[in-house]
Amino acid sequence: MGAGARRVTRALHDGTRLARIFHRLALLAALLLLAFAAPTAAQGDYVGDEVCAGCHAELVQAYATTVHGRALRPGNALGERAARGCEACHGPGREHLRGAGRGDAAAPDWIPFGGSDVAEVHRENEACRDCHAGSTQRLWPGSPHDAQDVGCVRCHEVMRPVSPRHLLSRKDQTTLCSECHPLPRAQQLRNRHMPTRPGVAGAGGEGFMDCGSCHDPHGTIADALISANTVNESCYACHAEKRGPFLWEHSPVAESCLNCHEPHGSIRPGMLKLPGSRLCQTCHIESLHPSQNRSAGDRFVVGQNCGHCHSRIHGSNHPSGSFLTR
Amino acid sequence: MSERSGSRGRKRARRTWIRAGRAGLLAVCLLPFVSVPDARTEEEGATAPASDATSLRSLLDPIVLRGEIELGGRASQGDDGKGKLLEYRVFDDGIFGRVDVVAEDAEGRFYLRSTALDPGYDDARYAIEAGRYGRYKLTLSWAELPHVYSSSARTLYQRPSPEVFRLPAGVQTRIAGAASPSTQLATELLAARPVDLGFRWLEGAAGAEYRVDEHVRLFGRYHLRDRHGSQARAIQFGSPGGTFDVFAGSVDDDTHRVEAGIEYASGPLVLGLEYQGSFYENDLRAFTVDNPLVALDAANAASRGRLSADPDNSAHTVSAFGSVALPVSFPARLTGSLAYGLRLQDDAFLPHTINQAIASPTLGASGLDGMVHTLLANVTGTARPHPRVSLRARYRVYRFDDATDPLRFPNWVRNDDAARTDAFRSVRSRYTRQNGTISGDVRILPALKARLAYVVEAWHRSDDRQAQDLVEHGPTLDLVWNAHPRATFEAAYRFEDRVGDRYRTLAFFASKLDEADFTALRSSGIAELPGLRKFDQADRRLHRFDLRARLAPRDRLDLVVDGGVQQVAWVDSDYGLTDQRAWHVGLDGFHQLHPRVGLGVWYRFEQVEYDQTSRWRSRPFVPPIVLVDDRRNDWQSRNESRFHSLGANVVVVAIVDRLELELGYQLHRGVEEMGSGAIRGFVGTGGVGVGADQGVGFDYPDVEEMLHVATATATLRVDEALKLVARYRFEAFEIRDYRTDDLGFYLGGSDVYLGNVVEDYDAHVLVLSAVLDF
Repeated sequence: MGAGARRVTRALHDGTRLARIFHRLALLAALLLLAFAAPTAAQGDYVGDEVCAGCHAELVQAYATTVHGRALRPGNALGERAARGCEACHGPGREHLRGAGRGDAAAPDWIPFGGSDVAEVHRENEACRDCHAGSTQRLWPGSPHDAQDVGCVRCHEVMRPVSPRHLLSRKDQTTLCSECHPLPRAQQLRNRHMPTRPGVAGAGGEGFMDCGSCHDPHGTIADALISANTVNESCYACHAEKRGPFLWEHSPVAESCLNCHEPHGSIRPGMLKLPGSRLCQTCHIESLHPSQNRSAGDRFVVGQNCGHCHSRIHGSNHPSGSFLTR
Repeated sequence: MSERSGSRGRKRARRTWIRAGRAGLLAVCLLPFVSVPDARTEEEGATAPASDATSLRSLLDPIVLRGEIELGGRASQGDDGKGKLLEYRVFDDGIFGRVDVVAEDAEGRFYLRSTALDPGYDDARYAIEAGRYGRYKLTLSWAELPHVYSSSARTLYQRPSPEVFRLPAGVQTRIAGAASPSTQLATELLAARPVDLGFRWLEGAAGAEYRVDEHVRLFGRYHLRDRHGSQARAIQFGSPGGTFDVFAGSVDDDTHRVEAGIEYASGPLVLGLEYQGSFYENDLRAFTVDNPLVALDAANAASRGRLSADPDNSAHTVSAFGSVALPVSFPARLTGSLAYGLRLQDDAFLPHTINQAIASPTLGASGLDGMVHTLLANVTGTARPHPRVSLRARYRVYRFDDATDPLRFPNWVRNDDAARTDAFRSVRSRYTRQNGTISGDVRILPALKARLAYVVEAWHRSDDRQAQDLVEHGPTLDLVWNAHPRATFEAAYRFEDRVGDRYRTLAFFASKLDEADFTALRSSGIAELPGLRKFDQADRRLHRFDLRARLAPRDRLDLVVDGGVQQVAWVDSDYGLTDQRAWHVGLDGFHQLHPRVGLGVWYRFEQVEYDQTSRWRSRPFVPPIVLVDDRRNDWQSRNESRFHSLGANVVVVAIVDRLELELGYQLHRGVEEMGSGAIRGFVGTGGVGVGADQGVGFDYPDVEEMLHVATATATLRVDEALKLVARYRFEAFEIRDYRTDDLGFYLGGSDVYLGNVVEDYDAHVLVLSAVLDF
């Protein structure tokens, strides 16, 4: 009989220990119940949207046409809290009518939004997560933006339409994200780039992709908030032809596309990190054809350089393609 | 044998449906404007419960419409035929349109939103979303994207079918029979015809989301991506370093993606289960390309070569997710996920060769029967035990297991022109990557916050890789100082140290070759230089330092100044990448100069340098094969890129609620230097090894690019519903790239290029439109 089984057997025969175990389980159950039982505001503390409109008519009018304005109302909303309109997010309005302001300790359930204090930011975020705990927001707790105390309302404008989609607080994702991440905005101006440059299609913009095409700012499993399980799986969403498996693999390709490519923009063909021949020479110094310095017009430097012969660089399924030339 | 010919018929049918669907989608975008007489009785409308059937009818009448419709004209002038300008855009002269309209029932429960951007053109986007707010929605979308590589390419090849690239009759015979084949090739190439390089990218998607109740959500989505066109491909003929031909290879493939899942989210508990499937289908199996230099197949020369195309493949992923708030007195949560993936590929193999003078060796297997398993597990814990303290711990493991059976090919054919008997095995790689992070945030003072984290990453790779085990770890430190309500300063430092176990330079060859062949290769020294370290597996140290200051020196003036520096040293790499240095500095500012004038500016500079060391290793290709491995032939290269980018934008409300002007300008300049030099100053005289340039360094000409974009927009509001918009855009692009600028389709010798270059352009685009806002 194993040691673990012996321990259980002894416990079962030891009434005192058994009682202790049950006591701890009961305590845990009580804690669980307490955790799930959230205090709720009294019914009379909610005043209704009409009262809010009395002072905030313009705001309420603009809000009424938004997705939240439509969804958070009786008849549409699912759940008692969501159907409370303005107070679904801001909390019971009675406290605000009594003069409660931001951070008022006497009005713990009132949330005016837009706070700068870290505690207020997290309280506001939890209000949003009461409805938006799943979907793309399910990995928010502990995510880089949560760790940086970024509030939901820092990036999202709920009260009036600013962006065409996603209720952003700026007109497009590039403008919004570049406020904290300015480097990719400059990198996408480079010669070789994905179609991310913002603007109206047909009037100069590309806008076929944006930051959210590859990243999920709400939190992800992968590095750098890549929205797929890995960087490569993100790339395969558009470039599935590179996924393989191939008969002859190129191992660093299968591990990470970022070994060779700069996804935000590059001056080099193929969005490479280094010029073609130089990139290959960081890993290959074979002698089948000596890799070496050449003149400017050298055939191993111009055009697609090494890729002229090793054109199946991402992998080959040809039985005679072990050198990725077929 | 995959059913390629049958799939072409399906492909044509699919394209017909796509065209019909596109037309239908455009029609549906106009659906909000259809008004249907109310057929309900007053009693039905007044008292009937809001069932979806009657409510759907109620959607049609009465309808509340709101949104924008923009209609106008576009004219462009300049180099609008140049590939780079039109890389992802269309600037055809003609009608310009944009629609963004929402139709709702009077009670605001149901909606139908239609959007269309640049409809009717090759960069058009359409989308429809319909449903009930907060309950369910259906989405349909269609987007088209041109992807133009170049409009300067020329080719002698004819394309009787998407997979065949044939030279005109007699070309091969004339070149093969000429006294100087390269001169004859140059003559023949004078008849090359223009060919556009680029393809059309079409995307369609349909999705649905349904909230069963406030906690449960069901969702599903189908996504189609279709590409067809051409892109530059190349095929080699002859021995290593032999001739190659660049041709405009066809592109014709689809990717289908399916997603479906269910999710439960209720307060402290979130659970989810999801399936994703991706199916790649390529209508092309191979490219058969004529060899200009050889007219008839022979045992050591091929009149044509066959290059494989990307094989069909599929991927399936099942994911489960769970998150629970922990039963403690402070906010704490535990999140976990598990994802299993399966990738498959089993396209039929091509024969070893298309050369009819060489007996194509037996394949041994009809296809790869490729199978890759992936497994991803992730656990994250977060806690805020005190208002001033937050803690996080995360562990993630990803396993990639190529479970495909290795195949051994005892005989094969090199580049369709040389039968070979040195056996190769297809190498299957596996790896496991583990990441662990623990971090803590502490608000030391009300205005000062510190974050300390420790990050560990561990790799274990299969024995075909040079470094099987690698561990990279190090601390990060972040400080945020709210020095003043108008000033915040941030500093971050990160250090990582990566150390591996024994580095085995020839590990890949040991897996690829039979034991006797590997022993012979190792003895010859011909394979990889022993001192080489591949940068993704070599020991390295990384330092990164970032600073940022957010300032609001006065009301309505915001400034952000930031910069960073990174240095990576591959500490034990005698050859390969040895160092990387990168730094950037930037400024972002916005100033509301006047209640009616706002000014935004930004500037960014970035410089990246890579140092690498290599060696010229000479050897003859005919026996006796003697490798010359001389340290004096070592060379170094420094690759340096510098980028300046800036933008400015000013918005002027010239007449309140009437006239608004917006001016913008962006400038980007990039320079790439590729300089090389001999390390030990040896200049060969031909006495050592073969060739004339052993060890000699060469500084290549700089690559330079510059982009100017100037925009002006004037918006005149005529009344509450109507505004007139004028948009002007000027773009100018210049590039100097020695690698392509003088790249005709023939540079001398025997290689054939397409001559495709990235061309300078400048263009003016004017769009005048009226916007109806309702």
